[in-house]
Amino acid sequence: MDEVLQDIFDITGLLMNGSVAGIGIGVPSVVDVEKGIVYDVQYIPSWKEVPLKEIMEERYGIPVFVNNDANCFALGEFYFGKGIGADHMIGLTIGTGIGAGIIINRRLYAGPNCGAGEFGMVDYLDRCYEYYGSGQFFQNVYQTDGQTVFERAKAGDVQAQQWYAEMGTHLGNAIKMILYTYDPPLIVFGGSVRHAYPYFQHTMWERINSFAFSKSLPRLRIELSELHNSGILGAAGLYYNAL
Amino acid sequence: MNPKVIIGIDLGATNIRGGLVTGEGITGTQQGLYAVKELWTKFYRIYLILPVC
Repeated sequence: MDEVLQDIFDITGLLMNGSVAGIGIGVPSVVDVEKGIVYDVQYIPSWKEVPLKEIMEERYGIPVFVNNDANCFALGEFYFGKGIGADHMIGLTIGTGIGAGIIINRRLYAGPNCGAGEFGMVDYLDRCYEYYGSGQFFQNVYQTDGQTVFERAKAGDVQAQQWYAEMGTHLGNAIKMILYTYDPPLIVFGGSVRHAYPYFQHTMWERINSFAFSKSLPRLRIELSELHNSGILGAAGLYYNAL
Repeated sequence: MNPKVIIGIDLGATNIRGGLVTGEGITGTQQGLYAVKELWTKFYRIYLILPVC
């Protein structure tokens, strides 16, 4: 735990100056947002329960906000990207899984356990949505990795493009589920899979267009993130969101 | 836009990245520091322990 904390202190020390009003931190884990405690951080085995907010506030004496990375992605888009001006939106990260941040009435809704928007974990077919509707699909169903499929699709490989089309059908079903639950006017895609959008958009929209409330669909926009550093921007956005 | 200066830190899968942010975007230096020393230590342990088992 100490090594990673020291890295956070090092990078904060490099950036800190007298004008800094607060610190926002995005982490790939469940977070007790109020207390700023992070639990079971992916990729950092020793971070089972770390009171990150308390540690940072004691050290730097300014407000610190901690939230999970998908929520930070959504805030980054809301304040600095495709979500500028939106009242409601969903930031959907599609990589090796599906994560999401939900903005309602210009505020992040994370839930008391920071678990809101875990759409990828919802049961679907014999598994869950992210098993079929994210980059996992290629490994789970065709035993190959997403990067290889992407390169093949770009090179014109019809089979790879077909696999993307299949994934798009599942992702479209996931988006329909999101429409039924939140009716967002804007969904911004992040994550590596968005780069393959041309290969799955057609089948994805076929499924979305079967949404029962057809009058809603003309008001739905799906955009691809173009932000660099959306994680950093969104982490800082945690401060603005708290004002 | 909010003019306050905030440090944003992204604790990613393979590294930690941070930047100074205002309402206009990132204005200050960004740094990337690898935070996976612990992870590599764990992997080494796994590779070392597995043959023994």
